[in-house]
Amino acid sequence: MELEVHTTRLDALVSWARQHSLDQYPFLSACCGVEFMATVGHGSSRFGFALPKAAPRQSDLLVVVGTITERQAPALRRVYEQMGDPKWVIAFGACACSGGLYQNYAVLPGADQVIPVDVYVPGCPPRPEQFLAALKQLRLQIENQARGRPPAVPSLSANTQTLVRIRPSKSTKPNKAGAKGGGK
Amino acid sequence: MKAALDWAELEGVLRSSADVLEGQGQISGLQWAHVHRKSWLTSSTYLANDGWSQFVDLSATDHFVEGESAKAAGRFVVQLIVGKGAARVALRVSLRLAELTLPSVAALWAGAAWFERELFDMYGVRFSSHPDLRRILLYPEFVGHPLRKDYEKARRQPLLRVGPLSQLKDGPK
Repeated sequence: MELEVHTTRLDALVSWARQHSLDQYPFLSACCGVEFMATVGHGSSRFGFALPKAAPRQSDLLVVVGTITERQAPALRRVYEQMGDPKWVIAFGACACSGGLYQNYAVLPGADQVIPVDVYVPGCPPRPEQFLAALKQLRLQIENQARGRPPAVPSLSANTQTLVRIRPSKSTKPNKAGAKGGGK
Repeated sequence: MKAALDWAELEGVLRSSADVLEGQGQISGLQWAHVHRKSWLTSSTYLANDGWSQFVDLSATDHFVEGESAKAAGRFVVQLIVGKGAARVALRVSLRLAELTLPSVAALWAGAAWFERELFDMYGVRFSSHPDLRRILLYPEFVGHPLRKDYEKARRQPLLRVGPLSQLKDGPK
């Protein structure tokens, strides 16, 4: 029996392993979450992606699925910071990409306001095939990163600065008049 | 137990507290009565004692007119809907911006407590003697009341901003 030997660079080997063992953490916040569940049935494991699981600390890929409100933004940021490096983010659906229909006081105009996003999947909701295409696109980006090439689709937001949650100022305490008992 | 609102009886209750029914009518089978804000609690108590025990809805609308003074009458209309069996009755009240307060009806219908918090959150209606009047959907840092017509459209109030790590409040733990 003939022995086959392949040679490669270490970072290329690591990149290959990363591309084929992405653990997903889906951050499901709205109706797109149900659509996202349908993508599991379209066999993302065939492409080497683990089934989504609710464990951000053990995941490599954060999938932001659905509308993110201003109030949720600190939670999303916190989940992102809890994930170990290296990590990637897919924004799934119009709301996660740009706020979608909701351009108002309550909704974050895109998850990239608070975390860096690698791949955007538009649609309201996106087709499952679009998500599979996004996963393949992400795999390409991981390979490009390892080879020192620019990503095929440059990330629109490179916001890796520290973001802090503002504290309530004393003048905005809502409970001054009105409540006699209770409240803080 | 009557399955409809007795106008005469409600008017009698209001007259005994030196007030009148400001309007009444029926729309799509829903009887509605418009009262003065001073008799909001009187008429609510009458309904609760008359067997209208099911709390259905409490909502508000803002009929803002540009350049209107805070004392102009009837900018806000608050509507309470309660039910008895399949029947529904609506109690309405007009409020001006200068006196945007109402007595709480949470003691009569426990379900009203969260709806009153929502009206406080979205319109700034203050309910006196409410057990716990805080914002219910928005965060305490939020300034203003977004469903008022003069709230600037699409004015965002982000909770996160760029700053030093030492100020991190809800960061990784």
